Amino acid sequence: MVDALSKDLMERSFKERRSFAQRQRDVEDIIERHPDKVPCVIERYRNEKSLPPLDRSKFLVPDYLTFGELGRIIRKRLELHPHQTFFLLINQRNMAAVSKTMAEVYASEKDEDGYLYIVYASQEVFGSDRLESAEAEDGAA
Amino acid sequence: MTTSAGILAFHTREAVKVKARVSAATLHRRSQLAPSDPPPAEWRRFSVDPQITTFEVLQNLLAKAFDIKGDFTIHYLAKDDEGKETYLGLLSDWDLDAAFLSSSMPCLNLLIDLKPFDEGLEGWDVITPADLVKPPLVSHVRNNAQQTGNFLMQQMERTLKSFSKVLRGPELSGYLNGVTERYRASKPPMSRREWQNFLDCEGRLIQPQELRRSVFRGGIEPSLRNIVWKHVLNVYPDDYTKDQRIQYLKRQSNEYYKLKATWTDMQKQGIVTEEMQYIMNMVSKDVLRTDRTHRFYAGSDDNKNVAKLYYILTTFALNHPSVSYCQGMSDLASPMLVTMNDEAQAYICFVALMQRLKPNFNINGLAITEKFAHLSLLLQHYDPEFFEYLKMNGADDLLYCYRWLLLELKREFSFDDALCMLEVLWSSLPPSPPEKELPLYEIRFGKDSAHPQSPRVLTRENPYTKVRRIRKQSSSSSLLCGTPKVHNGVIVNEPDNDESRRSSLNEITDDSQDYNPISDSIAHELRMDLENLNKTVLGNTKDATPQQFTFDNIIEEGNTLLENDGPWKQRKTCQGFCGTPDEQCELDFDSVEGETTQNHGSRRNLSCQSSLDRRRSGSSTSASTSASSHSDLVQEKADDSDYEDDHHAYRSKAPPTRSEGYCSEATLSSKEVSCQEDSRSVLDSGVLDFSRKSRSLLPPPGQLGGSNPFMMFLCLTLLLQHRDVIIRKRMDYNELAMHFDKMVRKHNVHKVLHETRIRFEEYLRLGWEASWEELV
Repeated sequence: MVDALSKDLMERSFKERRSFAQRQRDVEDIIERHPDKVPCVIERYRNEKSLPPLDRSKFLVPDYLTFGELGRIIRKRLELHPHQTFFLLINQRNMAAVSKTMAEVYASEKDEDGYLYIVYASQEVFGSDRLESAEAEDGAA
Repeated sequence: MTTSAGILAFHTREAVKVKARVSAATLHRRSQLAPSDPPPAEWRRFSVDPQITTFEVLQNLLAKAFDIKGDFTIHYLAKDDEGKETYLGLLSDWDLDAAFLSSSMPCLNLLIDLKPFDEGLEGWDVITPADLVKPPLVSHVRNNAQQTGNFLMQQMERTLKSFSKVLRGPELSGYLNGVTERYRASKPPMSRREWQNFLDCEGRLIQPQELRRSVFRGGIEPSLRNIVWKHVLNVYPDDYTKDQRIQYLKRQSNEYYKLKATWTDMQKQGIVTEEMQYIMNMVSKDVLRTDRTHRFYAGSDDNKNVAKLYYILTTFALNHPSVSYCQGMSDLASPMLVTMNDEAQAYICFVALMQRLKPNFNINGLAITEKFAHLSLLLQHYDPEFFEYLKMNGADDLLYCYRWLLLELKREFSFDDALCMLEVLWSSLPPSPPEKELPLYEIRFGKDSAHPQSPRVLTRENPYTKVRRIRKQSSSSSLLCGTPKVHNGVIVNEPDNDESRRSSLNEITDDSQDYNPISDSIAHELRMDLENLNKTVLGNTKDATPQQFTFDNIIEEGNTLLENDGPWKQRKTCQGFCGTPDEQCELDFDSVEGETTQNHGSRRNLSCQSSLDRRRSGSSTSASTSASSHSDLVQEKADDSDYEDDHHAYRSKAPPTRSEGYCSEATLSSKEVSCQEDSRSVLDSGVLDFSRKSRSLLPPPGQLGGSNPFMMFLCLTLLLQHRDVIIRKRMDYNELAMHFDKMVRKHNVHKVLHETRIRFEEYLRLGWEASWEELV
């Protein structure tokens, strides 16, 4: 029981670590200072085993970058082998066109708190059952 | 003459040497943060191709060269009017052009100012352009493979799109709509059915004014734009039936293809004049980076639509020697092509638009200078406090609004939003259909056309440098002493101190061996792009025959400018709006040459006076309050019918022509007017008093912003929407300019239009009709 809890603490997602209000404040602050950048949270997909985690999850991405270019940059950060498969999923379930700019993706996909949530995985996982414990927690808080 | 040779050499110059270093002060700051790094005060030297290097490319190059993570500003070494060396800010493409033109011999000397790295950014992983390693150069051999790849990619994207549509719940889109819903226009966009109502049974447009009002209030449905835009842009003469319009378009389209064939045929035969070459280079440089993220122009550079845009602009430039081509025109032509989706029709619309906007691109820079002056006046009037702030920071020259004024704000909104803003803006102007047919050329370009070359080819200046000089002189510093000594600067083509420049050049050691030709992948790629386009679009232009040109042309140009200097009277007499507003504005500009600047000097003083008066009289709430009270009132709007009677009374008093053709919402929607009436009663009577006084200080609608008052109010709105942030963060000139630069394509079109409509409305209701009756 205790074990499970500590493990849970270590692997808590960004949404679980910070409250809705905190996150909202973060975004407002950063957007005011950098109106030309898109605040993203990029995390490893929950059940992902073969890809390494990122050391930071909050990213400020220039809005003219395309989604494909972001993918390439993250690949580089993770130092992936060219043969390793790698996908970015928006809000745990959507894939975006690689030619879309981050500004476009952000406009259509941003979360209520203002962040754009992206996960990466080694397999395409379309339409995962959206059990977001974070959402439940938000409601409670 | 050596000068002329030097100037010509510039336009064919392939490389400009650049020498850059980070300023010592900021280096110090940086080394404090990371003491392990010894401050490297070294110069970086490289060379760039002025034809393809944009401001963004330069920024990326420098960020890479110095490994800069955060923001930074760039300055370049230039000579000021007294010949002293100063560093000028380099903040936009126009600045860069100016730097290449005037200060790049023997090399462009750059100073980089690092912004302190943002402390609030811990925890953020900031992705910078340097992270973006471009893929290896695409060789022509691989092109084929890539095209197949592109095709597959497109297919995949389509599938993905439909996938996401299914997966995404409806609740999300609902939420997103809610944000903009608040500022939606009072009327839905014009539909096909509504459009039919403006036509008679033969398809004549019978209510041009009503049509404009409708567009002004709600815009046009996208599918209808290609039809209605032609009316709003004054393409058709009055009273054409539908059949006549179709015939007319056919004729004009044929005409366009003839004009185009003239120069493309010459090119095929290998006859390429100096001017042609110059224009083609400029145009191809710009079309390659105009709206390329839009699907219409996306993809590789042999995109058919990019080529069409190129043909339109080159044909225009060659057949309109008085304006030729100037950076920014591609931005104006691009929406036409996207909307019309027909090369010839886009050309016709572009010509119609340029009838009005030509003065903006005039090399003397006067039209823009006047707009700047008017914008200053407006800002002073509506928000004296903010204006004061800008003045204290030396930012009252408003030069960062240059792009707004030149392109009528096209680049401030995302592409689709810009279409919406543009049609509203165009329809705010009174109709001015061409008397007969719209002339598609000024002087028909031809093999043996001996018309003088456009002034642009021959000067070291461009409109931007002119405007900048005038604005710098007339802004805070010289305003204080009250006597702007401007008109020398405006008209007189400065004697080129070539001697002094040359001598100082010699002092700088020419260390050309230190300059590495830039091998950066970005620059390289751009070069490939350009060559590619030259091949695919231009055909082979290798056997260009350099044309002799005479130096007299410049002098002539200078003289005519000088002669135009005086005639105040001419301007006075034509104030009566005798012709169409367009003619009016051109007449104005012809005669204004010298006095605009003197003029606005004195106007300024007047309005300073007025703001003082206001403060003294205690109605200090001034304009900013009235603006904010407006936005409050909008919400109240729904439930005030009491004022309706009042309003009707007001309305019957006012003659129907009181806004002399400029669209206003008041004349249509009683609700809104009554709500504004309300606002008047809320504000104390002092404000009304004030507005009567201030009316004499603001130019009337027929003159404001070169008879485009709505555009001036749009600019004002953009400034005011950011005034709080700017003041709160105590932004200095550079930060301010960068802030607005970052906002490019990002302003919220509905919010901006909404606020502007209200303010514009109020301005039109200041009671201009009295002065109108005198004039008409």
